[in-house]
Amino acid sequence: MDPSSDAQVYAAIKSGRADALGILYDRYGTAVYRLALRILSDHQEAEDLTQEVFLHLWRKLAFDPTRGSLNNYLLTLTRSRAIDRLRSRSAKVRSLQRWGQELGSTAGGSLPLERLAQREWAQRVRSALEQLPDAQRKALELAYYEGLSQSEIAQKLEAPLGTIKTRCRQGLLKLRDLLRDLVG
Amino acid sequence: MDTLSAEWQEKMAGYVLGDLTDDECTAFELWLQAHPEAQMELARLQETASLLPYGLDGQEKPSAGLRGRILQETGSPRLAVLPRRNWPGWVAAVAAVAVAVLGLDGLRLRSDLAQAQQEIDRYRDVVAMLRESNTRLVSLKGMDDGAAASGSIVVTPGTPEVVVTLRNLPMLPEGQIYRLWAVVDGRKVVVGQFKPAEGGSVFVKLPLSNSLVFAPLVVTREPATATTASGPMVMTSQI
Repeated sequence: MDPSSDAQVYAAIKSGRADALGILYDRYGTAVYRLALRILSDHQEAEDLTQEVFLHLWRKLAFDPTRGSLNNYLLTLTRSRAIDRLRSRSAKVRSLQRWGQELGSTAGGSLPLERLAQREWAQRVRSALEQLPDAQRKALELAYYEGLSQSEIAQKLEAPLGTIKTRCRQGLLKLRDLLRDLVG
Repeated sequence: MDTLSAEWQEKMAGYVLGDLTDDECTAFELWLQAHPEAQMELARLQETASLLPYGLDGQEKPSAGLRGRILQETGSPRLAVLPRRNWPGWVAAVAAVAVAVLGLDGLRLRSDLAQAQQEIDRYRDVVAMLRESNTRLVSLKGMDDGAAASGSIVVTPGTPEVVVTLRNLPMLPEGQIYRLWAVVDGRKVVVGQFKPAEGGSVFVKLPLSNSLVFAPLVVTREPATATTASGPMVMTSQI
């Protein structure tokens, strides 16, 4: 039995039904929390951020289902805010990463991934990550979870900047190819 | 996208990853404006990036109380701005339907108080549902054969049942029933079936999966033996 789509539930949120937010929390709360925990390494801060992200969804009503999936919206917001928190911790100014920046993309409608249970997403993503060369995966994860600039990753991995850029980009492109049936 | 050159694909990945220089970034955005078809591919890459967290090892979960704390925080700010559901009106509407269904006029109360009390007891849990802050009312409107019918469904997310109160449904010939369906992705998923009492009134509790509480609802008239929706639609929700 198919559940209501994210777009349907979000429409309920827009009409003021807090219970609909609960349904989306049940779908994405764990993913949001785990991403926050991975970046912040602190349980309490990760929970605070999870709360902040879902209340942002509720109060700002800024998600546009025609521009991408709710998963993308929530996790991009989570990552961006988690890395902001990391930066404010270290008071170190870096240029903003552009991961998932707001742009008029037109994914449109619900994505194929909505038809799978999230544990299946996890299996698929893990399996895809295993198929990436180690160097690509590592560079990609450092960029995504640590919020490091490419030159910082180059330093950390002791590799030329151009090599790191190529690894990250090729890693992402390969991942897209491996998950193509999920991301449309 | 097959038609995108490898060079632009790599630039696009760099853009999503945030590793383009300012000049490269400006050049890419100009190129993107001239190639709107590439925006779909850009969206795919962004979706791919946001799947990465599902590859994390470990099974950490937020504490059990977090969900409740978040929902509690939703209480005032936005609802204070948006028009709040018209509680007195719709509660009164349910009450009116319940009264009509029960026939709780004074005469009956006087003549058969015991029976009325028994019927009131049947509605005690409905009253409890109405007290839940997240309870909502889905109106059903009659159409075609059932144009005179009206009623509503009381839904309380988190509870496994909904309460259906309808009136003025046409009486059914032998061997036919009404079925309530949730419409999900254009398909009808059966919620339950019922027959109206005298006067075309219905008051039943039916199981409804929590995942379906926001789906449009319809009532059809079916042969009692049918397993799929084949009969005419007589009511639809006005969500």
